[in-house]
Amino acid sequence: MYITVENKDGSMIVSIEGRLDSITSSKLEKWADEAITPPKHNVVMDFSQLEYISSAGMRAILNISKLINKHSYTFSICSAHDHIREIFEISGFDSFIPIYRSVEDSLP
Amino acid sequence: MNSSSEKRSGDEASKNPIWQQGPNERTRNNSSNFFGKKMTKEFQIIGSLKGLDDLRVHLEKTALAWSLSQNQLVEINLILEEICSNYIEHGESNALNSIKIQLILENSLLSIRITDEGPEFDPTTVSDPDVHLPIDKRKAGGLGLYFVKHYTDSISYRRINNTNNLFIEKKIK
Repeated sequence: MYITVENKDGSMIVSIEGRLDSITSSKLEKWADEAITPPKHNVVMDFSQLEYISSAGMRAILNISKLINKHSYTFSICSAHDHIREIFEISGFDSFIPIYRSVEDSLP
Repeated sequence: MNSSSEKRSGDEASKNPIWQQGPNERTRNNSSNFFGKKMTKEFQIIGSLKGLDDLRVHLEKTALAWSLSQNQLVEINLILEEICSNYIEHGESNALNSIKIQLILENSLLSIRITDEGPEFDPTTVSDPDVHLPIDKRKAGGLGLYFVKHYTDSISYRRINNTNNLFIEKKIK
């Protein structure tokens, strides 16, 4: 799993490439501890290169979402493959994490 | 402690034994074997994160040999990761324990058996999370087995000779 960060129109775009599972989710949590604690921007996660997510990955996403919302910034995801979007719907996370079709759509 | 085997059965296999086929022909036959034939794959993983990575590799190879789609592979990987990580976290499995996995695909029905040597733990008794709660009331855990139920058609548990045995069925469309 690779994490790439880019700033665009005042938002932090975080691209996650590969798998977000029991093995790699701790890497994302560690990144969040260092890079967005506390958050200073709205954060958009670009999932266009994300191939797979399991409950361990969703746990990391929930914790990051809570952290960002607590500081009154927004957290959203974009460009997720259908099976990843389905996982968000089954989990009910789509009720509190906005899902956009593209990075452009996610920006204000 | 990894063991792996792949068996073929059915008329075509006996007419055209595997040792008489070149590697290309064998791949081609496997891809047309999807319906009707019984395909079996068995392997063991150690009860640790390394084991979960081995699980992914075993499943990728099986998906290729059985001509499963990327979506089918993702769903099967998710089911098995959630069950195995549950046994690793809650069942006190460790690198000394192994988790045995058997996959059988026959007539579009995938039967999975997961055998674990850890203390008694029946994942079917774990209650579902409330997925309608707002974000501040959502807890981080509990989704894994909920995903397993969503992506499977039946799940049952049996304690046999001091082992946990989970039997899962999934229709492969």
